[in-house]
Amino acid sequence: MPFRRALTFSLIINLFFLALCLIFGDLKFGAVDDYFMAARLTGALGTDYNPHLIFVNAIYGYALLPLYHLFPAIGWYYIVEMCSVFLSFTVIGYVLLQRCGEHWGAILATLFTALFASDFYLVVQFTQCASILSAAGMLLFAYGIISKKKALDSHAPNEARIDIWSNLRTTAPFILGTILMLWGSVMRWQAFLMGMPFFCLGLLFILRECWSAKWHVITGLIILFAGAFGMHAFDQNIYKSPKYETFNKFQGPRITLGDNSNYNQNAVYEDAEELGLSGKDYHMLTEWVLYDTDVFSVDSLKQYTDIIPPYRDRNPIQSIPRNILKALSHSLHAPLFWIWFILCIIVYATNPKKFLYLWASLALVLTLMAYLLAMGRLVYRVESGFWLYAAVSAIPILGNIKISIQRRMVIATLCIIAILNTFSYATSGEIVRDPGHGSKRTIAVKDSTDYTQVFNYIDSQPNKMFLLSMNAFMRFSHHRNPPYLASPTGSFRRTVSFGYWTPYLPEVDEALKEFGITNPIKDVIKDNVIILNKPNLVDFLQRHYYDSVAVDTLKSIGEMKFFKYRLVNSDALQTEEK
Amino acid sequence: MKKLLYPLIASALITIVPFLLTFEKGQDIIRGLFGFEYFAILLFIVFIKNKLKKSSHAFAGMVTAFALLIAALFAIAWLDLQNLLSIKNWGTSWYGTIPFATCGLAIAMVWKIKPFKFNAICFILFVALILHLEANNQYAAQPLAQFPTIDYLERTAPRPVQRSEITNEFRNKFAVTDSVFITRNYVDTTRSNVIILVESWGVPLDIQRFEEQLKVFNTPTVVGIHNRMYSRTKTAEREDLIQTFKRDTTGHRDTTFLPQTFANIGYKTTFLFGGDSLEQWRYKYIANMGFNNSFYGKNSNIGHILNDAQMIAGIDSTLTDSTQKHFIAWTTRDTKFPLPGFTSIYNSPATTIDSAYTERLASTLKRIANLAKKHPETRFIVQGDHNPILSPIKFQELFYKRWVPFVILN
Repeated sequence: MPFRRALTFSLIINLFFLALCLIFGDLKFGAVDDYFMAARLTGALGTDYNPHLIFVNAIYGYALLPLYHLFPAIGWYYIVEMCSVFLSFTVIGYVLLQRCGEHWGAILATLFTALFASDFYLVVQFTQCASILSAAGMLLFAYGIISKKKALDSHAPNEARIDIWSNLRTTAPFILGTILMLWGSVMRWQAFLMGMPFFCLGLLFILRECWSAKWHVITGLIILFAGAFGMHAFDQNIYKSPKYETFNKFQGPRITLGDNSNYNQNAVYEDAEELGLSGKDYHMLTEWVLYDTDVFSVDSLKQYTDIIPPYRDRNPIQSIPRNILKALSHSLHAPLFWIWFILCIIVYATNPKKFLYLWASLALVLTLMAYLLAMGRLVYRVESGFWLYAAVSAIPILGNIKISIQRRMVIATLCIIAILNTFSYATSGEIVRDPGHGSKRTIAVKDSTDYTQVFNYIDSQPNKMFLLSMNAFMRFSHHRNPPYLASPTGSFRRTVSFGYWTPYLPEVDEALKEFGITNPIKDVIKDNVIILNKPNLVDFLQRHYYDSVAVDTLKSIGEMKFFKYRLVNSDALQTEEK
Repeated sequence: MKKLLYPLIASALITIVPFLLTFEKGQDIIRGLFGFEYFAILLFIVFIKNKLKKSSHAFAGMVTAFALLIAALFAIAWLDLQNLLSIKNWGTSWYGTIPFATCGLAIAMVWKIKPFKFNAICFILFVALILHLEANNQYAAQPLAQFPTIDYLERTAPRPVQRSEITNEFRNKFAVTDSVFITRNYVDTTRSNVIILVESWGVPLDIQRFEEQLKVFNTPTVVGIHNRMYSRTKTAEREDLIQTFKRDTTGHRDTTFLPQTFANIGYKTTFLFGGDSLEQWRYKYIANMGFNNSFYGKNSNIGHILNDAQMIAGIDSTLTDSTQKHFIAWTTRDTKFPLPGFTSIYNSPATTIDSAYTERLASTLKRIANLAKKHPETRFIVQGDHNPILSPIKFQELFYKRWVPFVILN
């Protein structure tokens, strides 16, 4: 199939689904993390652009800076993530068209995008971007290898004929593939690494072709690994600066206490009490109320986190097979699984010699799943990444589909897919699969709050600092600005969360200091501090800091309630003095 | 078609026959129709058997593979049978012959059929696995495939020790009660009462060990075991001394503690603790319970921590004053975890922890028993505050969870 024709087809298919998602979908980040990384980039938490994105490699931030300087109102972080997904889909569609011919290729490419579009465009998120970019890169690289072999075979008689154009044609997939994989590694290092076993497996099944393109392969791999590790090291180095020291030390305890629940929490509570620590404080920590620089100083958090490991759920080796089987049967609910399965069937039907790929890729997915299960961290977005990698690695070993299909049939099938999808997007475009467990829901939590009022209330008091429960902070991300518009610099500066990964960020500490706050939880009683959705700190404050504290409700807008804490005794003393 | 159907039927035969033969009316064991492993092995048996017939090269290897497959078939059928029997707690007896009969029959069934190619077998098994999983997702009441080896592994996985239900062995010998309130049922308003909470005294799973601990009390009035809401010293100290507890319609709590009641009828009520008053916020919550006095070994950095022997000497001298009736609540300290001398809380060797604990507990109980003997006119209510926690998990697992002993003396 000619290059231009395949590309056009792929573009049309993917533009169609992109349009469906843009028209009918609820345009949001799939994870709040992305929103706040984008916010950090535009300096919403501080006073200036900051390309250090914590979870995404800073190179992405630096690459976006020129765009932000040119058009500061646009949410480039989001736009470029969407573009990366579109680019990856188009690449995969293109290769499918090239591998399976115009008819079958069109059907498969459409099916592929149809099944994945909602999971990627409407829940767009750095981990998934990393997976799809790496997958597209892997596929393109492998496609480069097999087309090189084909080119060599066809040119075999007159080897002398080397023109620059065809040389470029054979090298381009390697270059673009490597770039895509590097981009994937920038978006999320771990997701890229998890793709590597699949990349190796894929190359193993086209080992002969690899040999005939050995110089391209070796050079490509060297550039890929040197580039990926170099960029990763560069990114890691940024956070070694002393201003991130507390922030870094805080991450371990934060994850252990907030993210993980695969241990006996009751036993930890009791042991903490027995040790003379507070079970109530421990409970607060698991509820993400942890921005107290004295009681919950990063060093004292260790006392709590040290209790956890002995009580982790035990995972005996004998129960692993059963758990894997369960996880596999759960995977069947994901559309990605079926794409992999269909491609496996086609591999067997068209290229039975490669039958081992079926079991090998399944075994690889199951091994990685077992590894994550043992850590208690198997989540949908990661799992679907595995199926994606496994599916994509099957494409290069597809043989020729011998059953011919009439043009009329192809058009009919495509129309049916298009109509069905248009219908389902139009009726339930806002429903997406949860990136955590894959069940269907809408991204934004439905609540009756009028957030314009909430933001007006905050903005109308520029000399006040607002401290938020993590839940309120996260909800702000769905209402403050749409992802395709940039969060204005400083817009989150006066709203600091008690939990989440933002505590101890240099700019957050700085903003607090500017308002005279050295310890957020202790200083809730200060005059210039207003609390949002956290009325139950009285007990904690009285236990650790003050004799008597009272809390008043200032304003209540829907589910958002503003509170003011005050010392009771000092008030009483003051009236006495008067 | 025969190539596929015969192994399927044969595998169903091995799977279902033992199930039917052990079937009882009313049982609801969900069981697949086809054993996945049998199906795989039978397909491979046919494959290898035909290889044996055709070629002589690598003959020895083929024979070994063939023998291994047959052995695996019998072994898995045996495991499967054991899985079924274990659900019902039955012995093997004559059922042991079933696997041999069914597997023999199965091999005979597939003996004559033509083999699939190797890659076709792999493909069939691959599709069969996914088909089973999908069917199971759609309709879970009747699975297609059964996986005897996975069942077996799951069955033999080490299970956490059962520590929440007190066994009948204990129930037959001791007064076992779910109630968290003990003291209010046994206090005597006509004489002095000493309520002792023994730190980390739990009920051992081993009844002999428990009986050994009780030997020091030669004629206890009551010996029993009771429940606690939490394994927490504060819970034991507070909840146990609650006399009445009311919650009115507004959700406001109104709690009366025993010390208040006793103080009202002229008792001298004292709380004793040999440790630091700051420990576990005692200085706060004990003060709210209505004791006339509280005594701590260490109070705002004054004084030093007193051990159980010293505290008992103190109680002894208090009780000798017979003109005043006393209500004394004391929480012991010698058996508090982490025990002194062990650097790691969770990773110290469980056996050394165990012997150190046993020794300390025995000595404290012995002293209490002697004290009670010396003051026969005084009522002693002795309880554990919670089972041992904050220690190596292996050691913790020697005791019931949230159950503690109680002993009423005099």
